[in-house]
Amino acid sequence: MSTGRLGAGDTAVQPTIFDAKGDLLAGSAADTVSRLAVGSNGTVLTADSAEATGLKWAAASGGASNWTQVATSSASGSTITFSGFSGYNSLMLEIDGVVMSSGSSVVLHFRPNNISTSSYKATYTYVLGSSTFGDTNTTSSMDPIFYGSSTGGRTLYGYYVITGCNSTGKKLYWGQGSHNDSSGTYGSRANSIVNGYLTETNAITSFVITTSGGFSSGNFTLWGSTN
Amino acid sequence: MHTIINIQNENTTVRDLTADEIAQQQLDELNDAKLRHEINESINKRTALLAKLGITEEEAKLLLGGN
Repeated sequence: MSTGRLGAGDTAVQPTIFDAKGDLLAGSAADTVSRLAVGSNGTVLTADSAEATGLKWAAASGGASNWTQVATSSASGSTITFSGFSGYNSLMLEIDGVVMSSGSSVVLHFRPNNISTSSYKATYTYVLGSSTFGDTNTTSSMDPIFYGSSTGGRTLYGYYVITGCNSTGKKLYWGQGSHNDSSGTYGSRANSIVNGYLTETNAITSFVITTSGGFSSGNFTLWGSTN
Repeated sequence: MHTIINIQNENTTVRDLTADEIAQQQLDELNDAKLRHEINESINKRTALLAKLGITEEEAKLLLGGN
């Protein structure tokens, strides 16, 4: 369908207001028309009074969202940082066959935004050999940890999930890791379970994995979801 | 060594730990040892109690209604 043009002095919307496919018309004030540029693929139109048009394109919330791989790294050195990501409300770290160096505490620390202490409220349960130990961290002084293995072939597998990463409030996390290192530092079949929340007003844009004695082998993969 | 993978610009950097990072790892070692000591104490108390009662861990679970 062709579109006719009105005279320049007429009060009418000119088709030249559109610059690209998907552009929309929006009112920016009483009797005022503005162009709203099309958003990125997959985003949805959302009301926002702080915007000039009262509208913005934003990531969809709710509904199903697949986990996508953010990054992966082999377990080497003593610290691995995934940084510079955004838009994920949930993150999942997959621990795949990780072995840590012997002679150290053989403990794996997880640190969203590299937060080490004072912001965690957690409960944790550790099953080390035939013994079970559980406690609640009421002083918020401990970041979540998994007990690992320093014996090749008796490797640590597990996951760590944190949600609310885009929020300005608390982030809920949980995870479980296990290994069957019968000759290891922590006895056979160590199982680590952590649950809690992290108080952090900023969105999570980096994730640090560290162990003081270093890694020998294995892989870490970070997955993200917009939900 | 510290591996930093920047997802935004797709750069990977591998460098030595900074002084702050080394200090943090030393603090981690202390905190890990503290928790490990707490766990060992709990396990030792349990082991000593079982020995005093003359029963095994499995028998204690049966007495407490566990499987």
